Amino acid sequence: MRRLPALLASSALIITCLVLIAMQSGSPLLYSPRSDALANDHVNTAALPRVTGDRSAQVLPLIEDLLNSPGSLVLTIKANDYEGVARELEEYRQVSRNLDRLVINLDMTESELAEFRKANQENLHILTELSNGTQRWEELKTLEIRYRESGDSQMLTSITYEGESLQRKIEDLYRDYLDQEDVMIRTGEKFNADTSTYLQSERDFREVVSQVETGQEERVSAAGNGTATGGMESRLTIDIIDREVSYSEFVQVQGEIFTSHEIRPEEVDLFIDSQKAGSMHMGNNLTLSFKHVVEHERAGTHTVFAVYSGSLFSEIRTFLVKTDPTMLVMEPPAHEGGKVVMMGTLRTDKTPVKNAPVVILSDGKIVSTVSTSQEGSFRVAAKIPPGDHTVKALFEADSYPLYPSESEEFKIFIPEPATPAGEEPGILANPVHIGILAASICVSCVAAFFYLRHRRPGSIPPAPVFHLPEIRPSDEEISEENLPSGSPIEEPDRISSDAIDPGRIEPGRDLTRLFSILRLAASRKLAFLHPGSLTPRELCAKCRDLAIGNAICRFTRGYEQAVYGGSGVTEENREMLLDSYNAAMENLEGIDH
Amino acid sequence: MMKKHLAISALAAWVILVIGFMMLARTLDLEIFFVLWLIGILIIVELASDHTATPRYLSILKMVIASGVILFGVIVARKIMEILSQ
Repeated sequence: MRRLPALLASSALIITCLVLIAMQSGSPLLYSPRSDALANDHVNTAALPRVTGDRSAQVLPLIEDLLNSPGSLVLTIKANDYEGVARELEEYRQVSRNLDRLVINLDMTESELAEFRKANQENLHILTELSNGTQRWEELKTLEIRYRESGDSQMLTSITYEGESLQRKIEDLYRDYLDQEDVMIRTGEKFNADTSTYLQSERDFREVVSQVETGQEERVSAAGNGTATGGMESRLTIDIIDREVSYSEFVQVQGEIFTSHEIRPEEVDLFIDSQKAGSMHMGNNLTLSFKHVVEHERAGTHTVFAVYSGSLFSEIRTFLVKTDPTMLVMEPPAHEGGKVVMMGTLRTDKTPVKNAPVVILSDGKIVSTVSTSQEGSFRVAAKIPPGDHTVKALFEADSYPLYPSESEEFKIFIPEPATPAGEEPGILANPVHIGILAASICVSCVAAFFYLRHRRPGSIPPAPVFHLPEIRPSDEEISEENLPSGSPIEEPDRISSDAIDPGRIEPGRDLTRLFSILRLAASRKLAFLHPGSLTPRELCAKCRDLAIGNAICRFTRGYEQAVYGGSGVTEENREMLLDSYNAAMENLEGIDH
Repeated sequence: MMKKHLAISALAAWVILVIGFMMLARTLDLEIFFVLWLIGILIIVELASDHTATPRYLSILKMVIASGVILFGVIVARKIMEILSQ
């Protein structure tokens, strides 16, 4: 009778599940601006101002922080507090990262903030370089004092040259910093942020540059002309053929060396921006020459000097790296093997840009990055989700003396992948796929077979063992009984008809076996279907109205107490179980006769 | 309450729980749902089965689980083929 409510309850639950799934599949249960945007005929007017308002509320504090951070940082650099500089730079980086994250989360890549973000990234780079440059400048000042005291004129010349290089670098940084002013101030004023701190930072930066220039002038005047430190009889001179170069052009340096020694020098070290760039070799016409190709040098002024044998220095020369415009040309994207293939070239007016990173953007989001080849060409196959998209390529020119550029935008439509039904022939056409499918089905069939045949021998609880009072088991039997109960129990359906003769029941048999014999005997005599599926209670319930019902129910009650209740087989229980078992079996014999 | 009713209730509760979480995550995936259902029914049948007697409904459920294991093998094969074809 309890079956009906359970069935009804289960059916109600299943129907509820199906209804929930259908509702979710048919239309979204929950409303959100994102899901609402999918519907063409619906405009969520209430959400729009709120989103815009939220953006301003989130962006304004960040813009104020980013306008104030450079001011504080330049002041700390000016005060030569390099621990404070490191700390403030880290904070500045963190705020910049927050802006990047916000721009991505709010999908503002193409908005007015993108320009501000780029200028800010440039400022961060400039101030990091300024910090490193001024720190090195202070180190040079300390070294200069030490070498001046020890009278080491060669090292003093080296320091003077490095100082020259640093001075020009810091001047270039200042010029780049001023270039960002327009964007930073314009965006700040648009958001009604205070820009006075940023303007003050430019004045402080100018003071730092002035300090460096003054220091370098003093250093040069203290070192004398500094061009020939090897003595009047030795002299090393260099000259740069073309003082204005662009990307991929050569900086050609030529030099001459006059020494009083008989040995003619073969090699002279050449330094660009105080970093060793290579060695100048002596040619047939007794002149030194060196060629350096411009690739990753920043735009601006660079210093060059040569040193022979660590003691003879040339005068310092400079060259200017100009910034060239670039052209990024991309061909219309093509579909190929489920991916979108984009190819194109990146070049300046004169030459291809090689090994340069090109970013592929889809709807303003980066989908791939590829490097150009030696010919300046690139090819990339990107996986883009189905739907309408706008793609373009972008060259950011971070470490190149080149202007950034971007390609023409292309509108593409990615179709939905074919339906599974349409895919099947394609998948099954591949013999590897057929093999995988067949192997997987075979393995799962074997697993299913073993699951059905599995009997869990280790999980059978130890069956209580009792003995007939008049006969004690032998030692051998005891040892067998004490074995782990994992010994296989004879299948009830396989017990022979002889086994149901109570006169042949031997002492030491376990209780589970007695129950199995009794259940099989009752099932055979009373024609029960599926005897192996009967639990003790079901057996009792089926026999309750019969003459043997009393004996069987007494046995099953005792059996349950002993096996499931964990009470074990007591002396009284053992007698009762044997009596009820014998009585039930005798009655079953009676039915037979 | 009978063991059979307990098993049905536990399985229904498990299925509703799975669907509820899937709806909250807004990711209704039939394959994941099937695998979670299979795990649930496997555990419930193992807990409900007895070493002395195997009721009829448990025998049927074991057959259902065996079919589910074969279907699971097909799902795994499909996933492998999808990964290989990418």
